[in-house]
Amino acid sequence: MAGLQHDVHNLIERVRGSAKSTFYRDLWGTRKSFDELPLVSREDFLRTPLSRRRYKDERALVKIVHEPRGAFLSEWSFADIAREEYGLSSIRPMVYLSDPHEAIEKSMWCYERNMLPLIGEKDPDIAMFAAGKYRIDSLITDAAALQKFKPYFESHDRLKSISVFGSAFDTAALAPHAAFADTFRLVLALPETGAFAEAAYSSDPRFKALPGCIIEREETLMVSKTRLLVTPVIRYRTDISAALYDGA
Amino acid sequence: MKGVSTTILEREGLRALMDARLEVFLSRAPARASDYCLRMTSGTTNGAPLFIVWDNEFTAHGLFSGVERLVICTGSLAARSGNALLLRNGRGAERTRVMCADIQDMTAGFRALMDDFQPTALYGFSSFVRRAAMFFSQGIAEGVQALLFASEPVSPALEDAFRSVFPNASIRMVYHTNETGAVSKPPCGHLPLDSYHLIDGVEAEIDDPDETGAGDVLLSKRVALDLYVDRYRIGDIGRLRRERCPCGEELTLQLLGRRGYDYIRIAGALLVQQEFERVAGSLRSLFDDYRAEASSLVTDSAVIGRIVLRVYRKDGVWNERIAKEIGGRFSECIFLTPTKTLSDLVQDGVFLPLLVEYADRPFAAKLKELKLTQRKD
Repeated sequence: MAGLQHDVHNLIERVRGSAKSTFYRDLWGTRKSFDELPLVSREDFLRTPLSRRRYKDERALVKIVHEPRGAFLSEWSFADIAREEYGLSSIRPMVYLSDPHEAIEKSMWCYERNMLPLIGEKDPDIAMFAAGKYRIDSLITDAAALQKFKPYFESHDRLKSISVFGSAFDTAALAPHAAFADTFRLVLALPETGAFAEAAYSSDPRFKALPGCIIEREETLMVSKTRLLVTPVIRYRTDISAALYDGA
Repeated sequence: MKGVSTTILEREGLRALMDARLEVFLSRAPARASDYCLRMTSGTTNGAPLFIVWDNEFTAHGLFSGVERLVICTGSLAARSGNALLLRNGRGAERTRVMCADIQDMTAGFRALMDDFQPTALYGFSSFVRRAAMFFSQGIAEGVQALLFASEPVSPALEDAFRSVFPNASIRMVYHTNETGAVSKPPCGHLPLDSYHLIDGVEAEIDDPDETGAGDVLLSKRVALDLYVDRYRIGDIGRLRRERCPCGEELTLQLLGRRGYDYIRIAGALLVQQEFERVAGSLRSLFDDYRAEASSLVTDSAVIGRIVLRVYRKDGVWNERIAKEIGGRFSECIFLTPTKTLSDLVQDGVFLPLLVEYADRPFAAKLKELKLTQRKD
């Protein structure tokens, strides 16, 4: 924990002094310590164009994040995508996600980890055909997409791993799928924060923070990442119920 | 390096080669994953799609050189991922940024996102780019330096529409296919949009040309370190011109249309020769032969498809009632997407109603037996 605190302190200083953006500096004013810093949320990202909350310039992928109040951009350098803990190592991974922007990003993550990914097209029949041709051994997916893939699992060998992304999990609905992989893993993530916690599947999963992630709990979870991302994530309030998470 | 084969490689032969290569690929992980991407062709002819391992060294186009902020407007996720990979691999500017747009992003809110992103280039299907263009404010559109196209033709009308929206953008097309990857060099600036110079090492022939020199395009190229595709009938009709271009190239390939082996893509729909044949067969009592011509119409906000069906009747009988019956039944029966008929797409405003015309004499065998062609207005 001391290491994390040190890292986040360094990040705060770096962000405060950045010449590239004043997004956080304007918000923080003179507050210095982590605990004092005001929270940010999606509303702030919706309100502030990416061009005004960009803290570094690297070769990057830009995603569009849709939500009921509108849409905003989330930029991820390929180097930062590489450092995320999106999936587990395998030889023939597949990415099958409902959101096309997330699907492209996770596909790039596979490449950054030197894995050749199959990206599943929207039509589940086409996706399953391709999965069979490629003989996938792992899957990065979300709960909605996973449901569509059930016919594939029922007719093919068990996978090495399935990583299910989301901000909430219906563990009862996921239960039938746990048997389809040696490792069935749940990943708490948002498009704009990346992944911040993971749990092995169970009826009552115990999430733990991923490396470099600080998770605070009030009614909902607040996430911070100690790395300097294109738009840093510092005391970011999510809508994820704190009841979901009781990890360290 | 021209192959010595006299045999023409048809799609099923290519499938066998690709499947054999895939088997080798499946037996071991590649040393460097980013050298490859996985692509699939549409499964519209002879059943199953082709599943292909692209070797980027041999398949990548060179369109992204120097691009700073790119919006990719293609249909398949595999195409988006493969193109994003090229930029990740350094084929754009040093600090390039890439956004892979989806059709679901094309809402009023996209305008603010483009104001924020400030793209310098757009790449993909011309119909998708046309749709995205609706959301560009004038200042942002003026900042676009290049429109880069593949897979769908750009008609003169569409070219004019793009030039009016993006006055500072060069329009550059590349000829590349799902089966072979890039076939043409980036445009030299001296050719019309339907003509290309071939990448070094790529050879093209015209199979059994007609009196105009047009015929099936056969392509020979290396698609991977361990795979040379020799005399593959790609499905396009074209002609070769052997004359010196101002850029110095001696050979130009002009594409004239789609053979119908696979499909013509118009306004986001797939027009498949086999499907036209199926429906025409079911309406044998109404006409004896036909030719269908597809084209696209450019409006302020969209690309709309148009099909003209010319029919020939041996008995020479023709009236408005017959034309109407053919038009109605053909439209209701022909599927242009997996789930929608032409009638559905007319109702959706994506296509104009089918225009049926009478041919007063049998169709001559021009452009081979091409019953479905694409007209570029």
